[in-house]
Amino acid sequence: MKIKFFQIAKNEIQKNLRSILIFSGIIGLMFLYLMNMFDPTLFGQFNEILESYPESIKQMVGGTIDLATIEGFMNTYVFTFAWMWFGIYIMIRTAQDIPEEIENKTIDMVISKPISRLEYLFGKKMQQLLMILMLMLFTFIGIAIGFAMNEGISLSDLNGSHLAITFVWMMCFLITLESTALFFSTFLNPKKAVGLTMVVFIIFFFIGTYYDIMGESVQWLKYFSVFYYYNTTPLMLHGTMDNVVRDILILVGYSAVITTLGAVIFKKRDIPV
Amino acid sequence: MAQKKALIVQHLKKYYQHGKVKAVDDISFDISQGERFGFLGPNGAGKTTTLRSILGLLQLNGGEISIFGKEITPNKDINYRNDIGYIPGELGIYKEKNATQFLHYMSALYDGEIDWKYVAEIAERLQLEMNRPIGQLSKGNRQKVGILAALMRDFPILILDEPTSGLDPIMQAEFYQILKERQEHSNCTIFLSSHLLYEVQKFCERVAIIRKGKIVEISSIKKLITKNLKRIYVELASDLASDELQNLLQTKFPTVIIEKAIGRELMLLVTEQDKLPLIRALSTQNFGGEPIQDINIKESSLEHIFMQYYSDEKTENSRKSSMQEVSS
Repeated sequence: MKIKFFQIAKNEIQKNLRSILIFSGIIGLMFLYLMNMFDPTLFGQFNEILESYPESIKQMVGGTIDLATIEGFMNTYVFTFAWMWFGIYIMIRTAQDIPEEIENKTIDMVISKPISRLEYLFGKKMQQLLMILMLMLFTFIGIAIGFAMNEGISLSDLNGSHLAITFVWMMCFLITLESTALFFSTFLNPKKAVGLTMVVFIIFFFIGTYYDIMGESVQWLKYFSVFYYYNTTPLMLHGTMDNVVRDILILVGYSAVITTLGAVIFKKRDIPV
Repeated sequence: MAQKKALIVQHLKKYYQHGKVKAVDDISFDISQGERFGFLGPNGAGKTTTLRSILGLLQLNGGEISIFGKEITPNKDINYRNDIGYIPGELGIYKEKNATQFLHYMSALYDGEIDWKYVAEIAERLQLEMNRPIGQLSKGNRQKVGILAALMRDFPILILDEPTSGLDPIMQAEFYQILKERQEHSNCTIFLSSHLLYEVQKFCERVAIIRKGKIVEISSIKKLITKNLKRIYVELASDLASDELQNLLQTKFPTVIIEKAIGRELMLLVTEQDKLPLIRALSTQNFGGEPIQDINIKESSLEHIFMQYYSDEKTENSRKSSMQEVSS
């Protein structure tokens, strides 16, 4: 018996490869440019200015800003803003994927064949994971070339293992965003799926980022936001591994649970005409 | 010996909006192996819902389905779909692929091998350009891609939902010729849903008529046509005579349907039961003071029978009486 899940994934990759490559390429070039731009003396001057910024702005970039070091620079520009560089793109693409297949009726031709809905869904998921992996790869390549081109960056200053862990952490965080979008795509039409994904994303962002300025009685809400479990600042800036494994595991667990929920809904739903 | 059943559907139910909308309401039918079975009904009658329920695209609210004697749960079982070639009513094909790429993708979803030589042969007969992106093909040519996907393997069952949609008459004829040849070769079962009544009449042996989610008739086409309504053409001497006859029909023959009334000419649809008394009345009575000028009795086509099931209350009575006749 054939493993049809790979056939779905293969088809999805063939279908989307070009656009993923273009977007990843642009992102890679952007990070190459950013890393090439890094100048400790110049950006160090920004630190004083940024210190005077309101707490809410600083919260957005993990609470502490240090643009004078390459770790701090990368933390602010690459990892903290991952939701903006990659997250929104991933969510919009993922949320529309299955609903568009339903609207275009292409899904009928596929799931009327001897293939389970779970295989279909996980074929889609595989393509989405590959998209995240590709984005990470191009980001890494862009950063690496940027490092090589910038004489002001000393690689010996950089903690390779911390950087690698942060990359894995960012990937897990992006997978949670993808899984949230996939969940909504299993039962909503394209517009509603994108809309609701974005609403949930914004709620996650605010309660996970600005919980400090919320009333104490509602601060517990932060535990329900994936953003709360993605704060790379302590690791990148201070080298502390506190809660990193816990947070990564929570993000992975959240993705697994919400993907499973989506799979259960998708398995039971009607595919409308 | 009884023929082996390829498909048995029993008490199939599919409801929407918590049971308020009964798209398919307790329908049962069976199709023998090698049979050509037509499924007729207007838009929204429940044809496509039935087909999609069999293929597991919809969740059933009740009922049982058996394929070659084996009961299946369409949303759980998947292997039975190896036996089914399907053309959906609304065909969705990846437009960026060409037909060859699309068929390779479809074939990869089945267990077993595909005879690509046969696929190329059918493509040639249907005059399909296999290497042109599907997005650049006309509707008819896209439909041919769907046809190829349903015929690319020796499927024991073909479920075809409006299969000739968008095809020109020559291609329609070619398609049915291919189907006939396929059936002669493999004795496959064909379940054809269509609103093109002449297609069903010409191609199928038996037909089910579905109305508002319920099957109102299952019969062989031959039996339906011979036992059902007759068309009687009557030419009268004047318009006044025509009015007089129409009054008589309303009072004495309420089940007779006046299909057309143009001046002094009438086209009537008459049940077997009414046929002889009406002819007797027409031949013995005068209308507008004069006898009828001409009378012509024709077999009804499937179209008229079909219309009979979808007309008003008056026809409902007529349908019931003719159904009794068919079943007797």
